[in-house]
Amino acid sequence: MVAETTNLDFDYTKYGFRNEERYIFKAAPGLNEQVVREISGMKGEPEWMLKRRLKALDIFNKKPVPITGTWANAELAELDYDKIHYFVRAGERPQNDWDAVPQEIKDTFERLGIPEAERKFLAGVGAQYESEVVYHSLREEWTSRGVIFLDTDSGLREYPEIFKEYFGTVVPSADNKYAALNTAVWSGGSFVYVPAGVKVDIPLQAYFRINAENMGQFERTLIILEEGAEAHYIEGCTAPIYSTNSLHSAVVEIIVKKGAKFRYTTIQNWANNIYNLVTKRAVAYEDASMEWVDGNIGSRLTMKYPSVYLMGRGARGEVLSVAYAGRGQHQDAGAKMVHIAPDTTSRITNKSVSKNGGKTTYRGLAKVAPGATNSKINVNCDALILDEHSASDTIPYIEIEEDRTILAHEATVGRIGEEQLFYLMSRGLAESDAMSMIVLGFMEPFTRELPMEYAIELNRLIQMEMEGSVG
Amino acid sequence: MPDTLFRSTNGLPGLGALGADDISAMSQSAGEPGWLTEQRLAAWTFFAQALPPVWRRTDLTQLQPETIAPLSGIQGTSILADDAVTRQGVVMMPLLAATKSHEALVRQYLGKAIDPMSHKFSALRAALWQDGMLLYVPRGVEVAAPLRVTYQLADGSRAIFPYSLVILEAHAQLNLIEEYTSPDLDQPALAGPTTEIFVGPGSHIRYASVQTWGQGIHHLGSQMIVLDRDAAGEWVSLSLGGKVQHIEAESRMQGDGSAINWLGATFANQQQHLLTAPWLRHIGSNTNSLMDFKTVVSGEGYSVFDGMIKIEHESRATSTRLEEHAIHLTPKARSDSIPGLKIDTNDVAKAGHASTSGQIEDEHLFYMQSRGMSQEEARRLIVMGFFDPALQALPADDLRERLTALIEAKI
Repeated sequence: MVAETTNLDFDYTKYGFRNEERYIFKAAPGLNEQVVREISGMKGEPEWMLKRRLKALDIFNKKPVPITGTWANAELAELDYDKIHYFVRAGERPQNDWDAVPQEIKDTFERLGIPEAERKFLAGVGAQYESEVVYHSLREEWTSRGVIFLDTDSGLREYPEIFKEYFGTVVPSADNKYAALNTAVWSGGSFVYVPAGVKVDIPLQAYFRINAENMGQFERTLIILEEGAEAHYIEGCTAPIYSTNSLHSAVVEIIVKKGAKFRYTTIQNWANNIYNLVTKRAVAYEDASMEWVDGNIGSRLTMKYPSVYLMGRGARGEVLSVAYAGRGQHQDAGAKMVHIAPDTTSRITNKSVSKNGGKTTYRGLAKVAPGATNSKINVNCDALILDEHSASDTIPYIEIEEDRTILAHEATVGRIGEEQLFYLMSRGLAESDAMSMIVLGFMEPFTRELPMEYAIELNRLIQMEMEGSVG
Repeated sequence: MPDTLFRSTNGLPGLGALGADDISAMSQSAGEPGWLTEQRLAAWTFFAQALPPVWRRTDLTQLQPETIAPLSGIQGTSILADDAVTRQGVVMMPLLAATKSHEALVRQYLGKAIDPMSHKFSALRAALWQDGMLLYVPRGVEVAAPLRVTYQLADGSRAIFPYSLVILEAHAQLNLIEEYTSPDLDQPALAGPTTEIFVGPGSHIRYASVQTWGQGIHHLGSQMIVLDRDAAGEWVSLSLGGKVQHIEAESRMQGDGSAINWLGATFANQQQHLLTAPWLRHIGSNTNSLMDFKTVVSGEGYSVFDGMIKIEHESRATSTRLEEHAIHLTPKARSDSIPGLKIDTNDVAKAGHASTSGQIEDEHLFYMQSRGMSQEEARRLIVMGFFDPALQALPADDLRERLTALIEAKI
């Protein structure tokens, strides 16, 4: 086990270590029907899922790489799909017994502090090492109240009816090229079901990790909150650094029914060579509340716009996000709020920092459909650019098709003020410490929404990113 | 005060049948200089080969370009200048004639701000322009009273590509009103105006661009002001007429210390689709910009504000602010806003934008009604107040009155 101080005193290199590859099954690189059939066959899936995968593969092949257009990025041209492994299984079945987890994998998790986190206050841990969940536990109390928290493969096997009813209804395969890719080759992820009226008061947590060269990770998460249910799900990722490009392309679908409340928290810290192309979307029904708390620190390129479709009267959506882009990174992140029902409200708050040639892009959509009367939308974007080599774009799309609406959007871009720096330095702080302090303060509206352990980890990550990069 | 309407035209084949030979014959028979013939041909070749730009928010399906026949010669350029101004050395004349009388000047500036090869339609404009104006203000000359150019569609015409080329030497001042107007048409017509304005060091321009086309006109235009060192501009853009509008506009702060103050007013009602894409581009250092665009939509009107603040890497100590506000008067009206920021340097003094959309607040209406106004009066007053900064910035009373009446009729 890891010493008590691990979370406060780790060093960044532990996120850069890499274990020897030792896998039971590894699909051949490149993507074709055979690979999809192999994945589905290995998992012993029902026929409908195989058909769904094959249809999605067809859509993926037909859709062009989005390098120009509204939700596109020219940097996607650099991805070589033929070099990506579409499926890797490490270990046989998901484990509930810690002792049975392979030592190598345990070492990885221990260095990430997972057992530590679990001991403190976590209820469930679904830790994803490679494409499938290998360790899983959930407090008995919740199981007895009907809460399901499984890896997605087990979810499909054990709860086929719930699964079939909701899978692909929020993010259809044809939504975008990478949603199609995910649908074709998905593996792992979390399946969460909270029955009506059940309030889960401790966060459900899952760690994800990529650990194979040229390996894509395509987890699929499906979360359903029945009427009046409440839950908070936390996802954090780290990855070792490799020299060739890797792809992470997840799909997260969330259904928040009448009066239910849900929060989804992510800290994304993939290695700086990973393309992180994620479709995250929730539908919120009458008086439901959906919150995305989304931090993006790692990856080569992230494209992620967590969305809430406000389908029922009085529904509420919120996205609170931060992005940090250092050398060679582009954080292209944002949010989408689509108001379909009357009396719906939404808020988007985005903070981004770019440094050492990094680039941040905020892209967002605030849409009010006809009939969504008395909608209220508030959008705030603030960007800090820390040096002359870095850049920031803000591209908010606002589409209003209803007159009884209140929309307000505000954005600022700036640098750290000389006066602020001077003041802090006159109090005896080194310039790098002063800058760190200002950046942490800038991100504070985000970090204060995180569980303390995560807030500390995020602050440490930012400080390390800031270290030695002044001047 | 001569108000000269220039008109002399011949028909050309429709855009579907028009070829490079027609372009070169038209240019040569008009006795144009060889370089201009070549420019037109190059632009035509580009037009014929290029795919149309992807404009998600501009619907051109009703426009059938193959049925639209452009004209050779000037069909409706009206230039209102002042003799006193001409005596100061100001040149204000049709651009076609200026390509001969002021060939070197035209050649130096034409197409230097707006690249004809930007996309298919900019190339079309560069190939086919006939109507147009050269306006040249020599160094140190100050023109206070507004000079006016108006472009009109001739009877029966379904295409016009007016080209305004405006050049201010150093320490000059100019006040210019540019208008587009036509009667209502029952079939679609194409207007493709280009305006390039070069403002020399320390010079100052007031520029009002007023679009009041009649029904049926599809306006695919481009405008740019390039500001040299310490130059300043006050720009007011009004978009009221036409069926479909797609205007790409840019204030380019090229020189250190240059500044722009840009006001806009757009009113889309019935089934109008009016798009404006105004860019504030900061290249020089210590440049300042302020943009304030107001939009009203009613009926099934649809407006798009696709604005951008672009701060280039070499720019230092930029200060910029973009504001965009939309009022919806009816449930079926629609407005899109995309107030973008692209910042490639951290040396920014201030950069921000704000955007709001919504209906007139019930409280405001209630307050005014409680003062004895009818609901219609209250709405009218609020909309007129909303547009007031742009209307007040117009440099001519008669124009302000005419546009006020036009806006009131739309409410």
